[in-house]
Amino acid sequence: MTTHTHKIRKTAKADSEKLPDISGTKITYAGGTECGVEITQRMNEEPTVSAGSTVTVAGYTGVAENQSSEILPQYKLDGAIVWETTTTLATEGDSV
Amino acid sequence: MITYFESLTGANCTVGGQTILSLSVTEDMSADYATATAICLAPGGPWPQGSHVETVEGGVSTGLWCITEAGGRYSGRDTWRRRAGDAVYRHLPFVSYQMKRAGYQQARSTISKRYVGKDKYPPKFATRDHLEQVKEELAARKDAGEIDGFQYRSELGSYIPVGGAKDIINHIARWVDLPIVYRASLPCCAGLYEPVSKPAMTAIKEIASWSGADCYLDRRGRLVVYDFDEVFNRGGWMPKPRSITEMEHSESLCEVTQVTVVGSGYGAYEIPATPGHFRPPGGNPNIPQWVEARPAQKVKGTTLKAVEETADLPGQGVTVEQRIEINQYPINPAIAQGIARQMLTKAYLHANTQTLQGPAEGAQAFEPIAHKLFSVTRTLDWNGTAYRYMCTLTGTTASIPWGATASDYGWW
Repeated sequence: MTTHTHKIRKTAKADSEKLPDISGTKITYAGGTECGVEITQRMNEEPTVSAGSTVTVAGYTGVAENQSSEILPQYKLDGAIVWETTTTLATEGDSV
Repeated sequence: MITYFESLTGANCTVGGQTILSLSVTEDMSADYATATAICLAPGGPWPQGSHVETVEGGVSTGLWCITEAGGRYSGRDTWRRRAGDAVYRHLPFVSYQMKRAGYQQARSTISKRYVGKDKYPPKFATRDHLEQVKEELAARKDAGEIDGFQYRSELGSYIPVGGAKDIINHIARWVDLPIVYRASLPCCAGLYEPVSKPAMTAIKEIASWSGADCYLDRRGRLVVYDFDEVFNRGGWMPKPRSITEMEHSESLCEVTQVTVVGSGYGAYEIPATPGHFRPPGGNPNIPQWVEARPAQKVKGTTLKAVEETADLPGQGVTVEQRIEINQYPINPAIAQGIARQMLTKAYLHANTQTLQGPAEGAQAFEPIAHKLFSVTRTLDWNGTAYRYMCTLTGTTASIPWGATASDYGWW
């Protein structure tokens, strides 16, 4: 099977709030961060989609939150019809 | 243009030295105690319940409080945070407090053996007049052989002789260690008073009510005995916030339009002054040659006389009367009139209220009794970027111009 990575979109999000402080200045406090990667790949074979388990896609490891695949009959790769798969991964840590 | 809230910071909005996130204060003269709730940032943990703390709002002290309930809160979603510049996450040190005005503990403590002492319990306060009667009765029982000398002395020793209502209040306040401020004279006093197992505040309110007065715990934790009429009919205006954002006024029919106080009391009469004079020539030899001048003398009567005083609200179409009978202690027309007017003033002013809302900066000092206000509420909230600090003042703009005062002197 031949696979090409077409698109990678990385996101990191944190809830932050400013609170007063006894020093008289405001202090920013950050809540937990949520990082993720969205990867779009094309391949010349019908893939199996799954979610909920830890997977590695295009070198990124995380819990597959969402995976969807779509057939693109107008395109061919190495003579076979192309399938496009989008995977959304939730990654560990404050950065990705 | 006045800019509000800019000067409010975590350094000058505190409860017991802890930065306020949210504070709500209610001071109401009709409630026994002012109350407050607060949420603060307390890296060192909450103050324990029962401790006394000071609230500072915008750098101005708004009084002392007794913490009645203290708690902390940990929540993964709401308090698990990383402070800017720190590497690790910690829980925000949120604490919450329920508070009542300082002096609350003393005011609600019951008059018990612990304070009074076993020998004097239950306490029996007796005016000197009443004690004379008791003495006579006990002496008669002793003479009749019902009791012996020891019982006579022990029975007599169980009474606490007092000169008046203030004496009783001072005794109770001393037992529970509650400072008292008098802003009313308390001329009426029951002959015998036994405040068994009553909270100090209840007993003091009861004693003050004999003279138509009331009590309120002020910001320093002192119990102020005040006269409603003096607070609201002494002139001056209801205080206002520096800017008014909302105003409401309400005028309702007064529940009572006439109050009559009936009772009885001893009158007083005057022996007029006489100038110094010589014995007339050939006069009665039993009269000295020179009789010294004598000032006028006020003598208390010995016969109980009925007292009835009525106060009316001017300009009312119908009469709705409230009648108060006082049998426990002697009164005179001036006292009866004072009590009647006080009750009527209270009813009338509460039927004519005005509520003003606005920024609380500059209004921190306004409190009931000290100012012409029924109640004050203040809220100080952190909205994510700044404090929002508002107050609501409820008072009255009405007053009753009372006429001449009745006599407290002479036969009526």
